[in-house]
Amino acid sequence: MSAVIEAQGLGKRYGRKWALSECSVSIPAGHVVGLVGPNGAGKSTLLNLAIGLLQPTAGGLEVLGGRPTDAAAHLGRVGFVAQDTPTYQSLSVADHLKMGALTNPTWDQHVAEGRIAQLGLDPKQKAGNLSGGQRAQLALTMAVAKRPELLLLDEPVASLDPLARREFLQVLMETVAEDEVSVVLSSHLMADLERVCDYLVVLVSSRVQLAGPVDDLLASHRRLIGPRRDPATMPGNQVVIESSHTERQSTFMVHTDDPILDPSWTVEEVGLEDLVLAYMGQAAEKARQTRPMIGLVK
Amino acid sequence: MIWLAWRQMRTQVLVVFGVLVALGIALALTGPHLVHEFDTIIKPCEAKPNCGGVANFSNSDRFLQSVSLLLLIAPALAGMFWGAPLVAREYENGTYRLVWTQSSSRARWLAAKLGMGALVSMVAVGLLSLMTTWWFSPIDAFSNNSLTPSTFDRRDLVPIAYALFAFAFGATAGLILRRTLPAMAVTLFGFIGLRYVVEDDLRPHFMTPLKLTSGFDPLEPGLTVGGGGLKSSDQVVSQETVSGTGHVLSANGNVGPTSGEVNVSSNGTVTLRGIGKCAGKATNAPAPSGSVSQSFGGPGAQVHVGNAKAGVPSMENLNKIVVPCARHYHLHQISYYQPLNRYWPFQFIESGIFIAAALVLAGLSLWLLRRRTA
Repeated sequence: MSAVIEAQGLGKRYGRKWALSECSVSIPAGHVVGLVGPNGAGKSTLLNLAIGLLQPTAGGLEVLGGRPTDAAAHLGRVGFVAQDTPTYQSLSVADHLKMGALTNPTWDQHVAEGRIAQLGLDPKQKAGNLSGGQRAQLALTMAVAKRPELLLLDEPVASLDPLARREFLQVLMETVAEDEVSVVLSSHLMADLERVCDYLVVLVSSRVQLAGPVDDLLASHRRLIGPRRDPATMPGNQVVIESSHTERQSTFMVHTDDPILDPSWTVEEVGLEDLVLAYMGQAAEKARQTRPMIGLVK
Repeated sequence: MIWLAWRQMRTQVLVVFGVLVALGIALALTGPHLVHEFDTIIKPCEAKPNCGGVANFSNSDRFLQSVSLLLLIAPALAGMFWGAPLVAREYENGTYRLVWTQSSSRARWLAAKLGMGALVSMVAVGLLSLMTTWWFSPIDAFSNNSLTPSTFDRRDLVPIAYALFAFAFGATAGLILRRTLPAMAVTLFGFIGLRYVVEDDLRPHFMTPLKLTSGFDPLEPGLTVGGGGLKSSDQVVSQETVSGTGHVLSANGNVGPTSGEVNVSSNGTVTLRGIGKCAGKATNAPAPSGSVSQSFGGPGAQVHVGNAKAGVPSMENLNKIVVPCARHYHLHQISYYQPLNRYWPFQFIESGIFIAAALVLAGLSLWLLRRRTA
């Protein structure tokens, strides 16, 4: 399985602040990949580096087996839907399609017009008058009509209302089914990703905390509820991701590839959202521990 | 990409050219009248040996005069309203992320936008300059002052070069600052700045100024070289008043008590600063009212007393001492000037400077864009 995005020690600095540092990630082809993480984790930076809108400060990055450049040969293979789905307000829908046709050698005008008709958009309407959802659809249409091998979407639905969000993801799913295109979709909202993604990459503070096919991830994590117990006494093949305790009871989220045999546990399946939140919480906990505690100085 | 560049500017361009057409019609209606007046009144008069009748020939119509003002600021407007937002607005609206992710290189995108904007700016300002130059031609022929900055700047070629520079400056500022409003402000000051530097410091020395030595006193014609004094069309670069021994009395044409070249002591002794005493003594006479001055020799050379005050010798009285004194010390005036026949070379040189600066800026912005993105 080849990687659509392969980063090694990738870093991007703005002034003194690193937006992304020491990021190593490999995103496989043939999936709808959800790139999840809290705000500021570096998701947008990673995607902007992948399309070449930004130049990396450090490290290496390969997209579809090559360094991102603004050569037509590379850009033609990657479709990009930017955050907040920008469009030219004073240009009509048809103008946008014309722009796409004139600037992309691989452009499929038939597909583009078909999608616009299917969405019920008036080609003469100015993009500035479109609703947020319609604008996002227009941006997706432009990215899809250039027939890319890889489609990158940077928080495409973050600013949409729930209905528009569902419609957008619906259209995205149909596209993926028809075109066999690899997709990387970033979001900080799990609910969006749960519906469409079959592969998940959790990014916290530039570090990959978790990556894998969604089915595998769900199969290898369990929630255990039972009598109170110190996490350090758990068996070696059960890695505790998250624990919470009441006076008598402990709840653990564990990663394990083996069945849970201990009869004292009530074993539950884990939802994707809980799983991701547990990993994000773990990363946040580690970050807290490495920070010096100012209170002790006194 | 060229289509997109055009499509983004289309509305503004159509509005601007609509205004230019309206202006052209107004000028076309009034211009022939001006030519007619010039041919029937000025020309016959100038043919006579002593034409003192026409002191001034201009058009007092405020609207039409403001056309000249419009031409002065038009390049700055092109820079601020077409140049500055060119890239900055793409950043502000986020549309750079749309257009830079189509399969066309970003350098080509910028080149198309720069080219289209430069073309439109130059054509718009060029038309305005053409109309203005044509309309003012009779007035210019009368005043014969095409090298005067306020005229030189608003005729023929240079406004077009200014427009190109202002546009390129605005585009580069927008690319660097990524925000339209600050880029507009920077463009205005950058444009005014280069205009000042070129006009004040460079233009007077585009070509080595000619030198003219003239007697401070018209009664001493032997000091005059180059056949006569300066013409009104000559653009003076610098002047100094020098004694026969080469001592510089004044770095301009002024010789008088107000500016300090002539000192009158309390006992009435008159001295030329750093040169020597004059024969005779000044006496206090009843002060004439108001400001008085009198010219000697070439333009700009004046003995002036300023506002006559009590205790200061009156002008007639002082002149009786200073004029023979100036002759005694062989005061003469050296003028450096640019003659009118250098108008076209100067137009080409000044245009060349601004075009070169614009090309450097365009190169810089392409290089910055290259460096910023992959």
